[in-house]
Amino acid sequence: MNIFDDQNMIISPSEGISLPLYKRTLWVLCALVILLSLSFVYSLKLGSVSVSWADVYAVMGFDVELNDATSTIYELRLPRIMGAIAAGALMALSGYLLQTAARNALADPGVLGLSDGAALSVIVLYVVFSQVSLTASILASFFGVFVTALLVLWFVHKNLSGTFIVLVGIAVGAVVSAFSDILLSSVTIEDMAFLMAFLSGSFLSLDLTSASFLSIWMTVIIAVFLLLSRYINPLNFGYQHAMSLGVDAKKYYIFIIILAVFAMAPVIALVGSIGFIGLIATFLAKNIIGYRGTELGIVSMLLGAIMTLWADTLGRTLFAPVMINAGVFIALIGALFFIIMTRYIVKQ
Amino acid sequence: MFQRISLPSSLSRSLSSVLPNYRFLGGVFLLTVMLLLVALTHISIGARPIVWADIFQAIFAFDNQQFVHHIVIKQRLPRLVVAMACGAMLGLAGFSAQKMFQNPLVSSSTLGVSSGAVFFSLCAIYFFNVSENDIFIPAFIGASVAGVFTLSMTEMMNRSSISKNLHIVLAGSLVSMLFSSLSSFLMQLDPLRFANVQDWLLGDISPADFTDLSRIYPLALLAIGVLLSQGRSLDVMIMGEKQARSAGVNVTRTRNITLLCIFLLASLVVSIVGPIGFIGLVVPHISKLFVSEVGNKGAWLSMLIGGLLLSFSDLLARIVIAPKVLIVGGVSASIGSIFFLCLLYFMVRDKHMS
Amino acid sequence: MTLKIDNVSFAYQTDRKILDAISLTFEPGKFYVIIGQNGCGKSTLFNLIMRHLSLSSGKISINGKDLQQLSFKEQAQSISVLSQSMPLPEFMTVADMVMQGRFCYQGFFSRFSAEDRAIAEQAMQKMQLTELANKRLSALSGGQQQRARMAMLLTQQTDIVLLDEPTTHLDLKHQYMLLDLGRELAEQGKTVVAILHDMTQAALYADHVIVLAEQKVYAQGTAQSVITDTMMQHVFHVNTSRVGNEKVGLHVPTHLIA
Repeated sequence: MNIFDDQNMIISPSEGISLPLYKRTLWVLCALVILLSLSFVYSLKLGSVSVSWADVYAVMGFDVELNDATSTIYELRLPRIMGAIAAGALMALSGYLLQTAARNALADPGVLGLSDGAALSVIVLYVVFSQVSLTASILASFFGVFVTALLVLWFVHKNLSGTFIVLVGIAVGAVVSAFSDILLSSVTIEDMAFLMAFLSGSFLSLDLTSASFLSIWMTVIIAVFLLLSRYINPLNFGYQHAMSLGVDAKKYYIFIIILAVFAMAPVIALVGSIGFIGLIATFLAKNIIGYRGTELGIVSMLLGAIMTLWADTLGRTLFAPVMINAGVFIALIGALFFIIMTRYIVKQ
Repeated sequence: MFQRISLPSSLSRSLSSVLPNYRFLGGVFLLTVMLLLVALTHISIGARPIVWADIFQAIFAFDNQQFVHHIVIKQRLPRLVVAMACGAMLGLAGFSAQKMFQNPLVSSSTLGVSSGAVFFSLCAIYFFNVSENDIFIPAFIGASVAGVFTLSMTEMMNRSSISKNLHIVLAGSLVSMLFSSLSSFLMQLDPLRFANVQDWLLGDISPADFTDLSRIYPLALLAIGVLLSQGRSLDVMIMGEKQARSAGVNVTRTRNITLLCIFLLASLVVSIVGPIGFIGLVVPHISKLFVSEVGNKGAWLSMLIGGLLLSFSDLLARIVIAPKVLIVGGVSASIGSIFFLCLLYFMVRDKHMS
Repeated sequence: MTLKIDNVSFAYQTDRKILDAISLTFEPGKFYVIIGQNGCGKSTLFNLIMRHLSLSSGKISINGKDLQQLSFKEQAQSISVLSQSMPLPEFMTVADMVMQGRFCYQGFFSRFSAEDRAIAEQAMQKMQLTELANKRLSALSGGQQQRARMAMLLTQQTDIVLLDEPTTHLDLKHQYMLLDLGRELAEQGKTVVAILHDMTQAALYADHVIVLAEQKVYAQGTAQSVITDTMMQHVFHVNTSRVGNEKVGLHVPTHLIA
């Protein structure tokens, strides 16, 4: 009796390189990719400045003759959209990796206070120096994530899976936010608007350069993830049992955490503190396709990208002419989600 | 059953070696002195420093001609009194909350109550054009909604008696996050309307004055009185619900009344100075250094300490980066959240909780 | 393969010694059972073999080769362990989990091949899990989860099999099924070492019993020779009398038979 081959799996022919894929996963992947592409194109059209489909085609074909419409799309919307997709994918992946490392379905950069910590570092940089280069802000972001992670780990010691780490993460996030608020209140009005938007996560300030950077970064991180993804499944069984299965657990746990940090830091540096994407996307993905390391990561990323893209697009179109930060939307949905999830999960 | 955590245990041990009554009286004396010092410093510091002698003169021999006297009476004193009053209210609310839940981590901010008050107030301004004077009504509704939400979430969580403490705080944090993101969302809908609300959102004493106080003091006094009257019942409830019931205490009624008063006090404070966090969290711990939470001595002491703490925070806010001024809410949040983190740490360390 | 424990000692950072100069040899084709009081170091011994903990002194080797020299992958191909402390990811299906046992045989680019899948199916059949194959782990009962862990161990196809209290959570039928499986593995030439707490089961299945007490090996040998009233007194602090015949016996607390 063939449990696996029996109408469930699609297997590639050669034995040296075999990539078995469950049919369901394949459908889901295709559907999500299509959804993402459609969202991408549609978001280019949506907005307070009305733009025709012809203009959208023109921009996408790089046939840019910079009239009003195409320049709107090209300079204002395209960066935001690219940025949102890249940010969503990266934050989703980051959350997924953290969840694997902590073996805790509630782990996520926002929950653990890491995005707040990174955002604070970047804000400090902005307050102290008025002109901040891309590199500097990214470095500050790395520093922020690193320090906050250390703080949380120190409080929690060994007990990463459980609700306590969530509470500590929230508490650390609160400390950091308090400092951010203080910093913010001591700053001039013009800077304040930008920084406040930054604090809640906004794609407004992205330009083509930074959006491209984020997209390239995303591609690199995804490539590394695909290489490493084999090891994720065994790591889910815990440090000791991953070792029993043949994985050098210590090495790979560290890799995963480092990859998670590398995934989230540039996003926060450019976009501000957005969290919860990993929480929501991974939870949904798990429910849709179950638990297979690589596929789960990819589906989470796709879901994260779609979510973030729509958060940004809806934010700038739904209540026009008012623009709502994507971050605020996501925080709201995230908080709701979190409340729903703790009901599910507090049996630990 | 008694969820006492020892703040530096050496400190409380050395204090408990002195006779309890002396400890209380000594505490009252010490704290009152500190309060006076802080009060005087508070009034004297500012854009225009004022000598203490002038302060006394202004209070006891007010001279209409002296400009300095005006500053003292019209500007500085109101702010100080508001700070002390709000601090007292928050302190008492926190004390009662911690006593009732037997949980060293609860307070009106950690239960999400303040965030709910803020959100509902914003809604009232946005949708119903409610005026400043009546803000405390939606604030109270919001506070209650948030509080009830938190409590019902906790009920749905695990019933184990150890992690229950953590769960209520977790629920509170989540509710708080929910309401504050709702608030951010609402504010972004109409940035102009809410432009002058920014400071209030952080918790700002400066715009408040005697008129604000006069609006809320009847209800505040009512809440305080009721809370104090519940003191005896709460004492019995420390033993546990079942024991309290068999001793004749109407547990449900006491619970509800206490909760309502806590919500009321929190929302009154929010309505005039905004959500100032963590005062209610810290005060009961300091109070426990001087007197046990049984009886009403702790309640009175909490009001004293609360007043002291908030005026001190306000003082800090004004001098730390002088001449620029910080907002009180930010200062109390910063210090308080660190305190909260340390509490978590000690709690787990002592109880070996997971 | 022969597993040799050579003069091994272990203590946590404090001075509390768990194992003191233990030497044991486990040979292929035999079913070994380790018994002892709770906390006497049985699980710790397994942890040391699997290199979850580092030895304070001594050497553990397979067929003469020191374990430290093996990579984790090589070790996983030689030794597998069944332990109920292994956390199970909620959303994983049984089939996926059982497949994980084949992890150590995969190359860098290859995933589960047809052969891997066949082995996984066999293992699930053996543990009577075929109907549950597509169910999520969180939906299984304790006994079913234990059988899933065992199935995963089977797919690893190692020569040395360590079973830490494998009968936990299982109902009687499955307990004996699992023990029979252990016996079968031993007869196939594998080295099977089990930690059991049920003395009767130990006596019925073991080729060789090892008793751990007070950080040392108290006794080892055939079940007959090792499980005696004296041992029960010294190690488990229970006064027993043996009831039964030469082949099978039960050690019953003396105060119950009068």
